[in-house]
Amino acid sequence: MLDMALNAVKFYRNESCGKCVPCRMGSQKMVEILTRWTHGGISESQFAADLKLVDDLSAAMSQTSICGLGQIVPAPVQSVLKHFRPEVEAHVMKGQCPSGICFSAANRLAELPRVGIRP
Amino acid sequence: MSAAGMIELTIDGKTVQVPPGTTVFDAARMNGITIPTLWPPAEPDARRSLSPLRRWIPARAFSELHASGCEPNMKVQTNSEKVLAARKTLLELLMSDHPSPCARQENPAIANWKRWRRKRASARPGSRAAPSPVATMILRSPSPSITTPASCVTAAFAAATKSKTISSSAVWAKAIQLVSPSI
Repeated sequence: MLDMALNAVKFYRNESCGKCVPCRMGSQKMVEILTRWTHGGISESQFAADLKLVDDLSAAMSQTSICGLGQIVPAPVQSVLKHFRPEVEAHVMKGQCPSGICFSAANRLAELPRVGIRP
Repeated sequence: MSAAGMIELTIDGKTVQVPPGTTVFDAARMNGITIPTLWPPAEPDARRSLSPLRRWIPARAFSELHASGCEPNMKVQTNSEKVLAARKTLLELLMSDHPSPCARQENPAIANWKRWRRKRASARPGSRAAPSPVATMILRSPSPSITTPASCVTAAFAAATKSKTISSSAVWAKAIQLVSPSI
């Protein structure tokens, strides 16, 4: 689920027109945070700080973006955090991916380019 | 609509009357309510030609404050908790990728002019050289901005706090104070 959220946010980042600050920069920051999560090995305090950051960023993006694309960027992350919190925590705290995607050999070597979505 | 075709609206609990076609941002400014900006609040034509980035920054939290026209009985809040928090986040976003040291010292137009002035001064001692139009515009830019190198707030903050980089916490505190005074 975390990988799906990352994929969706990457898509939004790639499609952002760049006119307004929250969408252009916020989506990039969101991708960076989620990518870090999928790599695991984050301390508990760092994860708490990240969650606070994601909340602040989500609020700013959904409230201040000019168009719908910027406003919807935080939705996948928020919904994964709301409904699949144990999966996210497994990634971050234990370094395990319940779906066997994030820590596979291929993913360990490099971020694999996905069809239709630039890494 | 109230008397003489004026539009009546409420900004921060204060009832104001403005002519039709006024933007919310101008209505607030005309009535002494300050909305912090990072772009020069110049004449409307100049504002339209500014980059969307700068046009955006003022405080377009929750509605296109400065761009949208006033409507009758509109209620505008320019300093609620949410607005201040959003402004703070946006400034953090902007400054997170801001070059440090700032481009203020590295602007090619100003650097070219200085080089040309030095050359000219050595060739014709005593002559006064004027900066190029672009350099003049940049040097005279009246308002703080993150996108105009000559008046970049981060450079000013860095100078004020005697810090060489914008990553120092004193610089950040000053910048955040500008956009969200009560946070």
